[in-house]
Amino acid sequence: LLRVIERLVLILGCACACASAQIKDDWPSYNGDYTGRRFSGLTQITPQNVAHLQAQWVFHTKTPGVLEATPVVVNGIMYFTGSNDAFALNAQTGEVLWHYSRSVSSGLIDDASGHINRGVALLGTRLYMETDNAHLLCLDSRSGNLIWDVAYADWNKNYGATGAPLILKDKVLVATSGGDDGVRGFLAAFDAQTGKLAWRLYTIPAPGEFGSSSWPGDSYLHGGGTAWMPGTYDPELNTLYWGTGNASPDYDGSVRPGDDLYTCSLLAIDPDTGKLKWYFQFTPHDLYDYDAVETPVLVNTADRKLIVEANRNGYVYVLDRTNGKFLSATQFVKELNWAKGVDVQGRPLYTGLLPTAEGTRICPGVEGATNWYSPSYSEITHLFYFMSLESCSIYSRKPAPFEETREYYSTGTKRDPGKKSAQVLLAFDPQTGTFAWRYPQASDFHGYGGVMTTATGLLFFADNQGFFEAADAANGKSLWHFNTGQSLHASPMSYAANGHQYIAIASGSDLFSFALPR
Amino acid sequence: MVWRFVFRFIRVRVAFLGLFCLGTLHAQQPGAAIFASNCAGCHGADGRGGEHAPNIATAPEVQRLQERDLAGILTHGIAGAGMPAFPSLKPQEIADVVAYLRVLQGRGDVVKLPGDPHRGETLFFGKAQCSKCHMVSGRGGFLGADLSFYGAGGAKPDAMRAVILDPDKNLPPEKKAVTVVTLTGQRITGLLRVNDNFSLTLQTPDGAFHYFPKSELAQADIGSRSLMPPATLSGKEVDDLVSYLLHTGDGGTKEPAKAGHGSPGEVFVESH
Repeated sequence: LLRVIERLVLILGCACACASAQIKDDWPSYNGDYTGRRFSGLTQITPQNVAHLQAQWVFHTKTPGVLEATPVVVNGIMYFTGSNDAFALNAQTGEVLWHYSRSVSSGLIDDASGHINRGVALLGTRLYMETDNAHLLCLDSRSGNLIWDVAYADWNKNYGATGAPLILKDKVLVATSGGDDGVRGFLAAFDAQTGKLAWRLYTIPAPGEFGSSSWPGDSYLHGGGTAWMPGTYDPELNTLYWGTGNASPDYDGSVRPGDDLYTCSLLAIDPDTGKLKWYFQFTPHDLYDYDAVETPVLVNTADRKLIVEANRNGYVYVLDRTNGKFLSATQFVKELNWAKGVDVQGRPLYTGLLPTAEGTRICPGVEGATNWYSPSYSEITHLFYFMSLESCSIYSRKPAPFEETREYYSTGTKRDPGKKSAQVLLAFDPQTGTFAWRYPQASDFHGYGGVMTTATGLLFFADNQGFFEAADAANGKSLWHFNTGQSLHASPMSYAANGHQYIAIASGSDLFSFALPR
Repeated sequence: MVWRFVFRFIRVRVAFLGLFCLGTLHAQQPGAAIFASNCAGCHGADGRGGEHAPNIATAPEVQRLQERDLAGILTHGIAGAGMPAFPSLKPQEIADVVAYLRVLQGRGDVVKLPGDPHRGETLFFGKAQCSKCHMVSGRGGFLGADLSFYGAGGAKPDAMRAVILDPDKNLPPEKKAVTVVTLTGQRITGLLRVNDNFSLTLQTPDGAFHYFPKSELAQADIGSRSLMPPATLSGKEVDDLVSYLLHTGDGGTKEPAKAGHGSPGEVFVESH
């Protein structure tokens, strides 16, 4: 009887979820929808038939850098970016309908010099993208014609952009990279029609503002806290959730005493005004490059509106998203030595390990216990999935002044030669704070591939050996795999065109799309 | 007024000079030899594409690149696209070869401007209805070509006039309408966006893309008729329109073309 009830609950749960706005044929934004769940409502591909999945086409961008974008699909047209180029593709064939080309910028440093781009945002017949040098471009989505071009961070040469814009009502939201290079992080909203700035929320307070005691002199201008990945949004609460990156300089905390607000934090923002509603700081006074830009995923339980975020610092957090109240933090990597746990407010209990002149071994390492690649929450299993990484780094510190055109780490990290890194795909139950299953990856390579789930109980993810895989979301059993022949630094998505469900993911310099045989 | 009838000389970017002309006019360019020994093997002696590399002379996406972007590509190459870096070239040599590429792109040459570009702009966005389909600097439609860089692309006044007055006759087939009839009798007319051995994709004036496997087509009429209507403008108005289009592409997408060095009525586009 229990099983029957369980099934009924499952079916009802599905019916409710389906009744709410579930993404199906279209995948209109980086994460698919505002929840950040990366959960597709499409049902053609099932655990029973997924073994027959075949590559339908491959698109080679010929652009520099590894592809990290998630494609956006609306009405059978796929929009995709590689460095500063945008493409409209026939989502059935992968053929180019138009191509907007702009050469990569010279003179960039650090992440921006890799010309990484994570995709587009769409509003009506307009398409928005960031360029490597932090311009917001507005293109005509039917032709790729450039409508306008706004430079939104040109006063410090160390700014760049690697993200994807997010559309909210009549505005388009963008942020920057450069958090390791002494820029002052911000989130900016532009009028989607005119390109006029609507608001800008700096993540580092100016002198006199709350939190400014961490930023003596003009250090607030170089404090980092960049908001380099797209956030999520709850329309009922009219609240935008956006993560911020590490403090700058990364490894020398002496120039930024105190908590270093609002770095390594989740910000809850009024999207109409750009005003901060509340914040939660995961790693106060970060010295380990624990950016908190991992997707803050909106999860609803019977009686609560939650945010779940698997953080680079090794804990997966559950917060009440109506007020930012801390509910739980669960350690998800075996070796974690920078903290002994968290207190009742969710504040870490530090062990006192610091980067030093001679180097200190700290776990998780600089790549993070997870990172920007997507997690996913299944509305079928009610589990939260993400790829984790066991690793440690030797962190070194050497104070140095900020300089434009130079990185601002104040020295660096190296691999811990004594520890093999290992990745584990995790299924976390946010209700119980336990792990339903673990899928250890065989290789000790370090992948940057994300996860997505579908309404038939499937989970797709990129493993760390160049394979794209499908697994049963209920138990983590692998059901299908395909060798893309390249490293995957991207997150998967699903769409339908002409009645067929497809699953797509970028790998290396190519974009792959899969479907069942006809 | 007399000045209306005076042809004014302007320097605009024109790239239709034949190879012979290039050879005679521009052999003195210091970048010519560097181009010949480093670039021409792949991109062709005229820069219009060769066996191993694409057209960099008349391709709009290359024409709109700024000098520093082109220099950056020469210095760093384009990873993944087969374009190597040329670290052996000195900064001055890079500047020279970029300047020569600008010559191949037609910049720095003198053509007569037959009319008034400002009145031409008013016509473009008004009575002549060009902007219903064509865009310049972010304003206008999408179905026709973006003309933001048209003036930089080697347009020739006589050829422009001919297209404006009789597009059916003078547009190349790939820029004309395609009409397909499906096996079920559906007839659709639009512009060709993809044509491979197995399928056609058309874009209709509403912006929608239509994909047809060729196995499902009874008939495909490619490029016999133009979607662009012939202009019903006076000769003077056509001259104004041509002048406006010759102007486009001079200052990047954000800045309108503007008079620079030289006497009034002259536009000088530096060939760097």
